[in-house]
Amino acid sequence: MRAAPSCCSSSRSPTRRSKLPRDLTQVEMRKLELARAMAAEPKLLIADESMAGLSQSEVDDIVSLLIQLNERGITIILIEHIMRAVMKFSQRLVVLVSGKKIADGMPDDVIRDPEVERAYLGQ
Amino acid sequence: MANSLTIEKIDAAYGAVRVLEDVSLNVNAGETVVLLGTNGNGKSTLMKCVMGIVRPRAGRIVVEIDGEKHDLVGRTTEQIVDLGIALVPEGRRLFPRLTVEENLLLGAFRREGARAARSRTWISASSASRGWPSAAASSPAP
Repeated sequence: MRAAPSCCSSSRSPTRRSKLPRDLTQVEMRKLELARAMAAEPKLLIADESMAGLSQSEVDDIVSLLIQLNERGITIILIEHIMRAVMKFSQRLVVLVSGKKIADGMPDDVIRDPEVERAYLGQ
Repeated sequence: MANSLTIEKIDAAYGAVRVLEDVSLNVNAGETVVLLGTNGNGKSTLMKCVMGIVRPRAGRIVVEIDGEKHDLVGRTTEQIVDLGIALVPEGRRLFPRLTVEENLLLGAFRREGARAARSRTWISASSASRGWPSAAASSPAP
């Protein structure tokens, strides 16, 4: 669990680590989910909409955590709808529509792709 | 440290509903990749295929870790976690009756070393006192 405490600094506090999830804030719960996955010491981390429902500053908080993990050498795949997080975080962007990949490339190029705009952002 | 993931021509379906069609994707070591798409377009399913939760109908998923290639299709989820892949599932899947620390211990129990040993000791003690099935405690780290 070497990686977990730095990912979930709240868990370092002895009073917080004995708390139940319902006593955590929304963003603390998300950090705990990430920390639990990091406790398995993965080399590849997949996070499925781990920022849904968070405020903008909380999203930034989680994104900076994920960037720190990546800087430690962990490869990360994120499923994400929050464009603020997507554009801040991704080195590459892949788009799936109806079970098919329609785009794969640099984030700035992909979001300008007419097919992506049509399929994802609406006409 | 070459820890890359190669997804090749994956097809997946839930019963008669085809969810993924011929999806290929490569993720290089140390890269951050975002999968984008509206609801119901196969993103979570594709990741579930990587984790061995959904078995694809066709295609290959190969992970290269520390220079060694491993084919993931057909492996169990715990074997895939042991190889060094972890998933944070969608929708707040914490164990509500367990504390923060206990939730973290559950994340660690497949690993090796002192923390994992502590995790397994805790799981086996809890299994007895809380009436959990003993399977979790009896499956050792590889």
